[in-house]
Amino acid sequence: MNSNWIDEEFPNIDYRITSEQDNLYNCVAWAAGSSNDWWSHLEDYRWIGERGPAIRNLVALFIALGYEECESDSRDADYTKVALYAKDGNWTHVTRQLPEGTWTSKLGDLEDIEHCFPNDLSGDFYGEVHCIMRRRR
Amino acid sequence: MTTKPETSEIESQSKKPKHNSHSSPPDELRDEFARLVTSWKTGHHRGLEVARMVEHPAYQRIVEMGEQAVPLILEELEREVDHWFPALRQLTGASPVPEESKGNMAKMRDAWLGWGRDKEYI
Repeated sequence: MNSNWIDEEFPNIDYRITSEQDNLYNCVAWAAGSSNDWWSHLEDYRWIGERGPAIRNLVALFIALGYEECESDSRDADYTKVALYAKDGNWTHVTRQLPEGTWTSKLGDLEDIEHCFPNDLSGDFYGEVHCIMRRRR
Repeated sequence: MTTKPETSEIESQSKKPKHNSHSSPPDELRDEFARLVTSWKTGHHRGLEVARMVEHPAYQRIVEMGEQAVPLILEELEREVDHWFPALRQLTGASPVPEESKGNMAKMRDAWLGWGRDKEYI
């Protein structure tokens, strides 16, 4: 699919595409540091903890990975941060902060992009940022 | 001495569909399935999480086809790995993917295709 879809869904954001489209991994895997599997609460997919669409299950998954909730999405050299998105109480997306402070997102089974802020992806498509979490590097 | 079969009998046997215990989907269903697959494989919903991706009307229409869609889905999965696992689970109630393979799309596909061959869907 042509990457113009990103401009249509997320107008006015500053981003660059950092990978080809790839349906072998998704945003949760990418945020967790993997590019060869797909994490979902649906059966058959990789998951940790209770399976279900509620955002609390995604929060619990990242707690199981060693993350804790925090207030700020600002860069902190001591921590890796992730932003979790939800819509209507269900999780929709995760983005991970890169060491230089920008954010990397795998968009479904399409491209990876690098963008400036978690709120870049807020809106109708992924809903809103539910929380920021961090883990010591 | 064995009797040589009549030519027409040989032709008849060669035209028989590959044996399986399930009836072959009719051509109209195959055409409809192909149209729905094309519709589901493109669009902005491919940027969503899989649970939302499979809510797409074309995907749901395939699920509504019922068990007769199973061999078509397995053939499509064999052609190209994609998120057919939720549909297969819903249609068959089977769960052939071992715990250690969950999330690995290639291994998930292999598990489902193996299951489909065991059940003679493909």
